[in-house]
Amino acid sequence: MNGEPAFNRQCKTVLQQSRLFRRVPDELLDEMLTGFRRDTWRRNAQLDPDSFQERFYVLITGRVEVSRVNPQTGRSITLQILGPGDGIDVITLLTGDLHAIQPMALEDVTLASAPVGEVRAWIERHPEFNRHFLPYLGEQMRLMEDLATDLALYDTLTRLARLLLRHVRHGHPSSAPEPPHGLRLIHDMHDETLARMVGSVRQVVNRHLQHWRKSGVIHKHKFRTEIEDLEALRSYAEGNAQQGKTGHDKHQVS
Amino acid sequence: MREPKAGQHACVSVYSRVEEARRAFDRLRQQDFGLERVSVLGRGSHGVYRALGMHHRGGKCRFHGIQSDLWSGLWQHLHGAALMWLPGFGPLAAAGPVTLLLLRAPGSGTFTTGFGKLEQALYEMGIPADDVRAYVHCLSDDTLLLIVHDGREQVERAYQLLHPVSQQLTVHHA
Repeated sequence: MNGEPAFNRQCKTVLQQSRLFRRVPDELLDEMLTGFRRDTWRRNAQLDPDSFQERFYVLITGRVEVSRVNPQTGRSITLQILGPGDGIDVITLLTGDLHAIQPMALEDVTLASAPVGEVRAWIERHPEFNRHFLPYLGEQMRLMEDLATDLALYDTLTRLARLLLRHVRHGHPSSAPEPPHGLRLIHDMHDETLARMVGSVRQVVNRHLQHWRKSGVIHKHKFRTEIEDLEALRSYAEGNAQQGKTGHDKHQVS
Repeated sequence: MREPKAGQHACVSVYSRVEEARRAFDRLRQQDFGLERVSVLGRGSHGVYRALGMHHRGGKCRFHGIQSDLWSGLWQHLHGAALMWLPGFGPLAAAGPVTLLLLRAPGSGTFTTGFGKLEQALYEMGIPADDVRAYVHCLSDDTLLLIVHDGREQVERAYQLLHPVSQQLTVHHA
Protein backbone atom coordinates (compact mmCIF):
# COMPACT_ATOMS: atom_id res chain seq x y z
CA MET A 1 0.00 0.00 0.00
CA ASN A 2 1.29 3.44 -0.93
CA GLY A 3 1.02 5.18 2.38
CA GLU A 4 2.77 6.04 5.60
CA PRO A 5 3.42 3.10 7.91
CA ALA A 6 1.14 4.71 10.52
CA PHE A 7 -1.74 4.84 8.04
CA ASN A 8 -1.09 1.26 6.92
CA ARG A 9 -1.33 0.11 10.53
CA GLN A 10 -4.50 2.12 11.07
CA CYS A 11 -5.97 0.70 7.87
CA LYS A 12 -5.20 -2.85 8.96
CA THR A 13 -6.76 -2.29 12.38
CA VAL A 14 -9.95 -0.87 10.88
CA LEU A 15 -10.21 -3.67 8.33
CA GLN A 16 -9.65 -6.33 10.98
CA GLN A 17 -12.59 -4.90 12.95
CA SER A 18 -14.85 -4.52 9.89
CA ARG A 19 -17.55 -6.99 8.92
CA LEU A 20 -16.01 -7.35 5.44
CA PHE A 21 -12.47 -8.26 6.42
CA ARG A 22 -12.92 -9.60 9.95
CA ARG A 23 -11.27 -13.01 10.34
CA VAL A 24 -9.45 -12.79 7.02
CA PRO A 25 -6.07 -14.39 7.85
CA ASP A 26 -3.29 -11.95 8.60
CA GLU A 27 -1.11 -12.98 5.65
CA LEU A 28 -4.00 -12.64 3.21
CA LEU A 29 -4.95 -9.25 4.65
CA ASP A 30 -1.34 -8.05 4.29
CA GLU A 31 -1.40 -9.22 0.68
CA MET A 32 -4.68 -7.39 0.06
CA LEU A 33 -3.34 -4.22 1.66
CA THR A 34 -0.58 -4.03 -0.96
CA GLY A 35 -3.34 -3.51 -3.53
CA PHE A 36 -4.96 -0.61 -1.65
CA ARG A 37 -4.12 3.05 -1.96
CA ARG A 38 -4.94 5.93 0.36
CA ASP A 39 -7.67 8.35 -0.71
CA THR A 40 -9.28 11.29 1.05
CA TRP A 41 -12.58 13.03 0.45
CA ARG A 42 -13.12 16.52 1.73
CA ARG A 43 -16.26 17.28 3.69
CA ASN A 44 -19.29 17.55 1.35
CA ALA A 45 -17.30 16.03 -1.53
CA GLN A 46 -19.44 14.01 -3.91
CA LEU A 47 -17.67 11.64 -6.21
CA ASP A 48 -18.73 10.83 -9.74
CA PRO A 49 -20.64 7.54 -9.88
CA ASP A 50 -18.13 6.58 -12.64
CA SER A 51 -15.40 6.36 -9.98
CA PHE A 52 -17.09 3.33 -8.46
CA GLN A 53 -16.86 1.39 -11.71
CA GLU A 54 -13.07 1.72 -11.46
CA ARG A 55 -12.31 1.49 -7.75
CA PHE A 56 -13.86 -0.04 -4.65
CA TYR A 57 -13.55 2.21 -1.61
CA VAL A 58 -13.44 1.14 2.03
CA LEU A 59 -13.93 3.81 4.69
CA ILE A 60 -11.12 4.08 7.20
CA THR A 61 -12.12 7.24 9.10
CA GLY A 62 -15.18 9.46 8.90
CA ARG A 63 -18.72 8.94 7.64
CA VAL A 64 -20.31 8.94 4.21
CA GLU A 65 -24.00 9.46 3.45
CA VAL A 66 -25.28 7.44 0.50
CA SER A 67 -28.48 8.81 -1.00
CA ARG A 68 -30.60 8.87 -4.11
CA VAL A 69 -32.21 11.96 -5.55
CA ASN A 70 -35.27 12.66 -7.64
CA PRO A 71 -33.75 14.98 -10.29
CA GLN A 72 -37.13 16.55 -11.06
CA THR A 73 -38.11 17.52 -7.54
CA GLY A 74 -34.71 17.58 -5.84
CA ARG A 75 -36.03 15.39 -3.02
CA SER A 76 -33.61 12.86 -1.71
CA ILE A 77 -33.61 9.81 0.48
CA THR A 78 -30.64 8.56 2.44
CA LEU A 79 -30.07 4.86 1.87
CA GLN A 80 -27.23 4.42 4.35
CA ILE A 81 -24.79 6.16 6.60
CA LEU A 82 -21.48 4.35 6.22
CA GLY A 83 -18.76 4.31 8.82
CA PRO A 84 -15.24 2.91 9.21
CA GLY A 85 -14.92 -0.56 7.70
CA ASP A 86 -17.85 -0.17 5.30
CA GLY A 87 -17.45 -0.55 1.53
CA ILE A 88 -18.65 1.86 -1.18
CA ASP A 89 -20.29 0.75 -3.58
CA VAL A 90 -20.96 -2.99 -3.33
CA ILE A 91 -23.61 -3.07 -6.06
CA THR A 92 -21.28 -1.62 -8.70
CA LEU A 93 -18.57 -4.01 -7.52
CA LEU A 94 -20.85 -6.95 -8.24
CA THR A 95 -22.65 -5.80 -11.40
CA GLY A 96 -20.19 -3.38 -13.00
CA ASP A 97 -23.10 -1.18 -14.04
CA LEU A 98 -23.38 2.50 -13.21
CA HIS A 99 -25.26 2.96 -9.97
CA ALA A 100 -27.19 6.22 -9.53
CA ILE A 101 -26.25 6.84 -5.91
CA GLN A 102 -24.79 10.01 -4.46
CA PRO A 103 -22.25 9.30 -1.76
CA MET A 104 -21.30 12.43 0.16
CA ALA A 105 -18.64 12.82 2.82
CA LEU A 106 -20.18 14.12 6.06
CA GLU A 107 -16.75 15.19 7.26
CA ASP A 108 -13.20 14.85 5.93
CA VAL A 109 -12.86 11.12 5.35
CA THR A 110 -9.96 8.78 4.68
CA LEU A 111 -10.47 5.71 2.55
CA ALA A 112 -8.53 2.78 1.19
CA SER A 113 -9.36 1.97 -2.42
CA ALA A 114 -8.45 -0.86 -4.75
CA PRO A 115 -9.23 -1.49 -8.42
CA VAL A 116 -12.59 -3.19 -8.88
CA GLY A 117 -10.98 -5.98 -10.91
CA GLU A 118 -8.62 -6.79 -8.08
CA VAL A 119 -11.40 -6.94 -5.49
CA ARG A 120 -13.40 -9.25 -7.76
CA ALA A 121 -10.33 -11.45 -8.04
CA TRP A 122 -10.14 -11.63 -4.22
CA ILE A 123 -13.76 -12.78 -4.16
CA GLU A 124 -13.03 -15.49 -6.73
CA ARG A 125 -9.68 -16.66 -5.42
CA HIS A 126 -10.04 -16.45 -1.66
CA PRO A 127 -12.87 -18.39 0.03
CA GLU A 128 -11.76 -16.90 3.38
CA PHE A 129 -12.70 -13.46 2.10
CA ASN A 130 -15.86 -14.73 0.40
CA ARG A 131 -16.99 -16.31 3.65
CA HIS A 132 -17.49 -12.82 5.12
CA PHE A 133 -18.33 -11.00 1.92
CA LEU A 134 -21.58 -12.92 1.37
CA PRO A 135 -22.96 -12.33 4.89
CA TYR A 136 -21.99 -8.66 4.52
CA LEU A 137 -23.99 -8.53 1.30
CA GLY A 138 -26.89 -10.24 3.03
CA GLU A 139 -26.80 -7.64 5.76
CA GLN A 140 -26.83 -4.82 3.22
CA MET A 141 -29.84 -6.39 1.53
CA ARG A 142 -31.62 -6.73 4.86
CA LEU A 143 -31.00 -3.05 5.61
CA MET A 144 -32.52 -2.07 2.26
CA GLU A 145 -35.48 -4.35 2.96
CA ASP A 146 -35.94 -2.72 6.37
CA LEU A 147 -35.87 0.72 4.76
CA ALA A 148 -38.43 -0.23 2.12
CA THR A 149 -40.69 -1.83 4.74
CA ASP A 150 -40.47 1.17 7.04
CA LEU A 151 -41.29 3.61 4.25
CA ALA A 152 -44.22 1.58 3.00
CA LEU A 153 -45.81 0.38 6.22
CA TYR A 154 -45.05 2.74 9.10
CA ASP A 155 -45.67 6.33 10.05
CA THR A 156 -42.87 8.83 10.59
CA LEU A 157 -42.77 8.47 14.35
CA THR A 158 -42.34 4.70 14.11
CA ARG A 159 -39.79 5.01 11.32
CA LEU A 160 -37.76 7.44 13.39
CA ALA A 161 -37.86 5.18 16.43
CA ARG A 162 -36.77 2.20 14.33
CA LEU A 163 -33.94 4.25 12.84
CA LEU A 164 -32.61 5.20 16.27
CA LEU A 165 -32.94 1.64 17.53
CA ARG A 166 -30.95 0.29 14.57
CA HIS A 167 -28.11 2.62 15.52
CA VAL A 168 -28.05 2.08 19.29
CA ARG A 169 -24.50 1.42 20.35
CA HIS A 170 -24.24 -2.00 21.98
CA GLY A 171 -21.75 -2.25 24.80
CA HIS A 172 -19.72 -5.27 25.86
CA PRO A 173 -22.10 -8.11 26.77
CA SER A 174 -20.65 -8.29 30.26
CA SER A 175 -21.30 -4.61 31.05
CA ALA A 176 -24.56 -3.54 32.60
CA PRO A 177 -26.92 -2.05 29.97
CA GLU A 178 -27.31 1.22 31.85
CA PRO A 179 -28.76 4.31 30.17
CA PRO A 180 -27.93 6.58 28.50
CA HIS A 181 -27.29 4.50 25.38
CA GLY A 182 -25.14 6.08 22.71
CA LEU A 183 -25.88 6.02 19.00
CA ARG A 184 -23.55 4.81 16.26
CA LEU A 185 -22.96 7.01 13.21
CA ILE A 186 -26.03 9.25 13.66
CA HIS A 187 -25.37 10.61 17.15
CA ASP A 188 -24.76 14.20 15.97
CA MET A 189 -26.94 14.37 12.86
CA HIS A 190 -29.04 17.42 12.10
CA ASP A 191 -32.79 16.95 11.97
CA GLU A 192 -32.56 17.56 8.20
CA THR A 193 -30.29 14.53 7.76
CA LEU A 194 -32.45 12.32 9.98
CA ALA A 195 -35.47 13.43 7.94
CA ARG A 196 -33.75 12.25 4.75
CA MET A 197 -33.10 8.89 6.40
CA VAL A 198 -36.77 8.31 7.24
CA GLY A 199 -38.29 9.87 4.13
CA SER A 200 -39.80 12.82 5.94
CA VAL A 201 -39.14 16.53 6.39
CA ARG A 202 -37.14 18.41 8.99
CA GLN A 203 -40.12 20.03 10.73
CA VAL A 204 -41.86 16.71 11.38
CA VAL A 205 -38.71 14.99 12.64
CA ASN A 206 -37.92 17.98 14.83
CA ARG A 207 -41.37 17.81 16.39
CA HIS A 208 -41.00 14.12 17.21
CA LEU A 209 -37.54 14.58 18.68
CA GLN A 210 -38.70 17.51 20.82
CA HIS A 211 -41.53 15.36 22.14
CA TRP A 212 -39.11 12.56 22.99
CA ARG A 213 -36.76 14.96 24.71
CA LYS A 214 -39.57 16.34 26.88
CA SER A 215 -40.74 12.79 27.65
CA GLY A 216 -37.24 11.71 28.67
CA VAL A 217 -36.91 9.11 25.89
CA ILE A 218 -33.82 10.81 24.48
CA HIS A 219 -31.57 13.62 25.54
CA LYS A 220 -28.85 15.68 23.95
CA HIS A 221 -25.53 16.00 25.71
CA LYS A 222 -22.71 18.05 24.14
CA PHE A 223 -24.39 17.89 20.70
CA ARG A 224 -24.74 14.09 20.92
CA THR A 225 -28.14 12.42 21.03
CA GLU A 226 -28.40 9.59 23.55
CA ILE A 227 -31.23 7.21 24.42
CA GLU A 228 -32.47 7.49 28.00
CA ASP A 229 -35.46 5.15 27.84
CA LEU A 230 -34.76 2.24 25.52
CA GLU A 231 -37.99 0.45 26.37
CA ALA A 232 -40.10 3.47 25.47
CA LEU A 233 -38.24 3.78 22.18
CA ARG A 234 -38.84 0.09 21.44
CA SER A 235 -42.50 0.66 22.12
CA TYR A 236 -42.59 3.49 19.59
CA ALA A 237 -40.70 1.31 17.11
CA GLU A 238 -43.41 -1.34 17.37
CA GLY A 239 -45.91 1.29 16.33
CA ASN A 240 -47.44 1.43 19.79
CA ALA A 241 -49.91 4.30 19.45
CA GLN A 242 -50.41 4.44 23.27
CA GLN A 243 -47.10 6.21 23.58
CA GLY A 244 -47.78 8.70 20.83
CA LYS A 245 -51.28 9.86 21.56
CA THR A 246 -50.49 13.56 20.96
CA GLY A 247 -51.05 13.14 17.24
CA HIS A 248 -47.47 12.58 16.18
CA ASP A 249 -48.41 9.22 14.78
CA LYS A 250 -50.69 10.84 12.19
CA HIS A 251 -47.80 12.29 10.20
CA GLN A 252 -47.03 10.36 7.07
CA VAL A 253 -45.09 11.29 3.99
CA SER A 254 -47.29 11.24 0.88
CA MET B 1 -9.80 30.68 3.90
CA ARG B 2 -10.36 29.95 0.22
CA GLU B 3 -12.26 26.69 -0.32
CA PRO B 4 -11.39 24.49 -3.31
CA LYS B 5 -13.83 24.30 -6.19
CA ALA B 6 -15.96 21.16 -6.19
CA GLY B 7 -14.69 18.26 -8.26
CA GLN B 8 -11.00 18.95 -7.70
CA HIS B 9 -8.58 16.09 -7.37
CA ALA B 10 -4.93 15.97 -6.42
CA CYS B 11 -2.42 13.16 -6.41
CA VAL B 12 0.35 13.88 -3.89
CA SER B 13 3.52 11.83 -3.64
CA VAL B 14 6.22 12.34 -1.01
CA TYR B 15 9.93 11.77 -1.66
CA SER B 16 12.65 11.81 0.94
CA ARG B 17 15.42 11.93 -1.68
CA VAL B 18 16.00 14.23 -4.60
CA GLU B 19 16.82 11.31 -6.94
CA GLU B 20 13.46 9.68 -6.24
CA ALA B 21 11.60 12.91 -6.99
CA ARG B 22 13.57 13.40 -10.18
CA ARG B 23 12.87 9.83 -11.27
CA ALA B 24 9.13 10.32 -10.68
CA PHE B 25 9.09 13.59 -12.59
CA ASP B 26 11.04 12.08 -15.49
CA ARG B 27 8.59 9.20 -15.61
CA LEU B 28 5.70 11.64 -16.08
CA ARG B 29 7.61 13.51 -18.78
CA GLN B 30 8.62 10.34 -20.64
CA GLN B 31 5.03 9.11 -20.69
CA ASP B 32 3.90 12.40 -22.29
CA PHE B 33 1.88 13.35 -19.26
CA GLY B 34 0.67 16.96 -19.52
CA LEU B 35 2.90 18.93 -17.17
CA GLU B 36 0.67 22.02 -16.96
CA ARG B 37 -0.92 20.73 -13.75
CA VAL B 38 2.19 19.26 -12.15
CA SER B 39 3.79 21.06 -9.20
CA VAL B 40 6.76 20.34 -6.96
CA LEU B 41 7.44 21.76 -3.51
CA GLY B 42 10.54 21.53 -1.38
CA ARG B 43 12.83 23.50 0.88
CA GLY B 44 15.51 23.70 -1.77
CA SER B 45 18.24 22.85 0.67
CA HIS B 46 19.47 20.47 3.33
CA GLY B 47 20.62 22.31 6.40
CA VAL B 48 20.48 25.99 7.16
CA TYR B 49 24.06 27.05 6.40
CA ARG B 50 23.95 26.82 2.61
CA ALA B 51 23.19 29.91 0.58
CA LEU B 52 20.34 29.64 -1.83
CA GLY B 53 18.66 31.94 -4.26
CA MET B 54 17.40 32.32 -7.77
CA HIS B 55 18.21 34.51 -10.70
CA HIS B 56 16.74 35.11 -14.10
CA ARG B 57 19.01 35.23 -17.14
CA GLY B 58 18.52 34.63 -20.83
CA GLY B 59 14.82 34.01 -20.33
CA LYS B 60 15.43 31.20 -17.81
CA CYS B 61 15.09 30.98 -14.06
CA ARG B 62 18.05 29.38 -12.35
CA PHE B 63 18.35 28.08 -8.83
CA HIS B 64 21.41 28.65 -6.63
CA GLY B 65 22.01 26.05 -4.01
CA ILE B 66 22.63 22.41 -3.32
CA GLN B 67 19.58 21.33 -5.35
CA SER B 68 20.28 23.61 -8.31
CA ASP B 69 20.09 20.82 -10.92
CA LEU B 70 16.68 19.68 -9.73
CA TRP B 71 15.02 23.07 -9.43
CA SER B 72 16.57 24.66 -12.49
CA GLY B 73 15.34 21.65 -14.46
CA LEU B 74 11.85 21.79 -12.95
CA TRP B 75 11.57 25.52 -13.62
CA GLN B 76 12.40 24.84 -17.26
CA HIS B 77 9.61 22.33 -17.71
CA LEU B 78 6.86 23.49 -15.34
CA HIS B 79 4.68 26.59 -15.51
CA GLY B 80 5.71 28.73 -12.58
CA ALA B 81 8.79 29.22 -10.47
CA ALA B 82 9.16 30.63 -6.97
CA LEU B 83 11.63 30.76 -4.15
CA MET B 84 10.27 32.37 -1.01
CA TRP B 85 10.92 32.69 2.69
CA LEU B 86 7.92 31.87 4.89
CA PRO B 87 7.74 32.94 8.53
CA GLY B 88 7.93 29.96 10.83
CA PHE B 89 8.92 27.69 7.96
CA GLY B 90 11.96 29.07 6.20
CA PRO B 91 12.88 28.72 2.52
CA LEU B 92 10.36 27.17 0.15
CA ALA B 93 11.04 26.37 -3.49
CA ALA B 94 8.07 25.80 -5.75
CA ALA B 95 7.60 24.87 -9.38
CA GLY B 96 4.36 24.61 -11.33
CA PRO B 97 0.86 26.07 -10.84
CA VAL B 98 1.17 25.87 -7.05
CA THR B 99 3.26 29.04 -7.30
CA LEU B 100 0.17 31.02 -8.27
CA LEU B 101 -1.74 29.63 -5.28
CA LEU B 102 1.16 30.54 -3.01
CA LEU B 103 1.39 34.06 -4.34
CA ARG B 104 -2.30 34.83 -4.00
CA ALA B 105 -2.80 33.16 -0.58
CA PRO B 106 -3.11 35.75 2.21
CA GLY B 107 0.16 36.34 3.99
CA SER B 108 -0.85 35.82 7.60
CA GLY B 109 -2.37 32.73 9.18
CA THR B 110 -6.03 32.79 10.22
CA PHE B 111 -6.89 32.84 13.88
CA THR B 112 -8.84 29.60 13.79
CA THR B 113 -6.64 27.46 11.57
CA GLY B 114 -3.16 28.92 11.98
CA PHE B 115 -2.79 28.34 8.25
CA GLY B 116 -0.10 30.35 6.48
CA LYS B 117 0.48 30.79 2.75
CA LEU B 118 1.77 27.27 2.19
CA GLU B 119 -1.03 25.60 4.11
CA GLN B 120 -3.67 27.68 2.36
CA ALA B 121 -2.25 26.84 -1.06
CA LEU B 122 -2.40 23.11 -0.30
CA TYR B 123 -5.86 23.42 1.23
CA GLU B 124 -7.12 25.18 -1.89
CA MET B 125 -6.05 22.14 -3.93
CA GLY B 126 -8.58 20.01 -2.05
CA ILE B 127 -6.23 18.50 0.52
CA PRO B 128 -7.90 18.07 3.95
CA ALA B 129 -6.59 20.14 6.85
CA ASP B 130 -4.97 17.22 8.70
CA ASP B 131 -3.12 16.13 5.57
CA VAL B 132 -2.05 19.72 4.90
CA ARG B 133 -0.38 19.84 8.31
CA ALA B 134 1.24 16.45 7.69
CA TYR B 135 2.62 17.55 4.32
CA VAL B 136 3.99 20.80 5.73
CA HIS B 137 5.67 18.77 8.45
CA CYS B 138 7.16 16.52 5.74
CA LEU B 139 8.41 19.56 3.83
CA SER B 140 10.07 20.95 6.92
CA ASP B 141 11.91 17.60 7.18
CA ASP B 142 13.46 18.28 3.76
CA THR B 143 11.20 15.95 1.78
CA LEU B 144 9.80 16.88 -1.62
CA LEU B 145 6.17 16.83 -2.70
CA LEU B 146 5.13 16.14 -6.27
CA ILE B 147 1.52 17.18 -6.82
CA VAL B 148 -0.70 16.59 -9.81
CA HIS B 149 -3.74 18.81 -9.45
CA ASP B 150 -6.30 18.22 -12.20
CA GLY B 151 -9.56 16.47 -13.11
CA ARG B 152 -10.24 12.93 -11.98
CA GLU B 153 -9.05 11.15 -15.14
CA GLN B 154 -5.72 12.95 -15.28
CA VAL B 155 -5.11 12.42 -11.58
CA GLU B 156 -5.90 8.72 -11.91
CA ARG B 157 -3.50 8.50 -14.84
CA ALA B 158 -0.82 10.25 -12.82
CA TYR B 159 -1.41 7.77 -10.02
CA GLN B 160 -0.93 4.83 -12.40
CA LEU B 161 2.35 6.33 -13.63
CA LEU B 162 3.73 7.29 -10.22
CA HIS B 163 2.58 4.29 -8.26
CA PRO B 164 5.53 2.02 -9.26
CA VAL B 165 8.10 4.67 -8.30
CA SER B 166 6.53 6.14 -5.15
CA GLN B 167 6.52 4.87 -1.57
CA GLN B 168 3.95 7.30 -0.27
CA LEU B 169 1.13 8.40 -2.52
CA THR B 170 -2.36 9.70 -1.74
CA VAL B 171 -5.21 10.81 -3.97
CA HIS B 172 -7.33 13.65 -2.58
CA HIS B 173 -10.85 14.48 -3.78
CA ALA B 174 -12.70 17.68 -2.98
